[in-house]
Amino acid sequence: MRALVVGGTGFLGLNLVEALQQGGHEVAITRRKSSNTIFARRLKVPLFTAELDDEEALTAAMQGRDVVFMMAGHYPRFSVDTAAQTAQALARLRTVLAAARRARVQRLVFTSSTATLGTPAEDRPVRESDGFCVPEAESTYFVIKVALEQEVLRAAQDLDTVVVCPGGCIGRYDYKVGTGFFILGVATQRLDRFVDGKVSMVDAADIAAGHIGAARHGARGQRYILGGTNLTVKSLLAEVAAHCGVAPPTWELSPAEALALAEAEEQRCLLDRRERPLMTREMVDIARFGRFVDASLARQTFGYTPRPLAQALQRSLAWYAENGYWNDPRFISASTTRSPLAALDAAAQEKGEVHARS
Amino acid sequence: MPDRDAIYQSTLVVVAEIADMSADEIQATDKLRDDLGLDSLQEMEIMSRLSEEYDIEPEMKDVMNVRTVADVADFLVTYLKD
Repeated sequence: MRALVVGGTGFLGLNLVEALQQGGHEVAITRRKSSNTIFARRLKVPLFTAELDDEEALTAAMQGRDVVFMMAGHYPRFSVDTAAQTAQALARLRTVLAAARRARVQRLVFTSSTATLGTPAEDRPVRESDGFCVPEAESTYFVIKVALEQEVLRAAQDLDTVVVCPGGCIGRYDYKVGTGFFILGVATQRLDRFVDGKVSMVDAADIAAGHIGAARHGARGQRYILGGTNLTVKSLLAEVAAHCGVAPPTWELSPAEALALAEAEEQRCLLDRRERPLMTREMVDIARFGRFVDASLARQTFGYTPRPLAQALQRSLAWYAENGYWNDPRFISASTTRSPLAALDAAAQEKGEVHARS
Repeated sequence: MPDRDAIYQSTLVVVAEIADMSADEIQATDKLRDDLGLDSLQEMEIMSRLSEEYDIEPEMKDVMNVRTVADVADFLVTYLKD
């Protein structure tokens, strides 16, 4: 396919570019003037400068493309002024959709999130058919994600759109350290407190494969859950700590305590942008509203198969170590037996237990 | 290869733009975070912009070791020399 990745300089975008290149597809990306292009240029992928409010530049970049992967969006760092932020995010998405119509692309794949999924009536993992969640007005990230996904699904009336909903992503190219802070924070022992909840962790390379599957075999107007290993935040932190040989955080906050802390921390860091909050509203909401998810539809439709958690953790930790985010030589090379995780995986494989820990 | 002065001047231009300051207000010894108030993503943006300008592909771990304005210019000089 001839693909364009809007937002291809970001964490998931870089993983998708790599997967498309490895699959023999022709791929280009858009970038903003302010994008970090260090990794994208290393992948030798053509770059088009196109801001999300520049319909002309977006249309030019989309010309002749079979598939547009829409991975960019206006996702503010903190939960402040939700209504204005959502309006801005919707305006930019509509510009991208208008450009896709003008360029007559065959399909647009939109990257949403499992955060948008509704709650099933019975006690089981969430499916695509469970509708949408109704986020609290203060949960800016959730509100924006729901609004954007619904807009993309409405657009399926006159544009071939497909939505994918990834779980908590970890892996290579996480240079801004998003959900990966659950991993890096434990590894570096900077994460000393947490709020428990349910998450579904998945390697970004598997998310990338899921995007390609949805582009090739997904049904128009359908959403596909790209989940991974379902576990609690507490179990995840314990698993990471065990891999790294450190103690897991034990200071468990109640949701109310965590929310109060996140709001205070976001206000503090709004005043001093150099600081990183100890906790963000987004992190709290991910744990508070997280659900176990069911990725059966993606598996049945395009063979989506996320790797075991141990492998995803290994790749994530190795990437952080190789790129100077933490200094632990045991994780520098994922392929050598010096790595404790590689050794664990090798031992598990020998015993036929490769999936036992995930 | 451009000389160090030229590299320092182009570093100043990019740092000033991203810090939203005048180049006259910026000293070589200024720390990007403590003195200019930049965050880690803005630091990456500076290094990304300059590495594009000089057509180099630095390692992320080297990018993350840069602390001052002079460090940025020195990094580019060293990289281009190598």
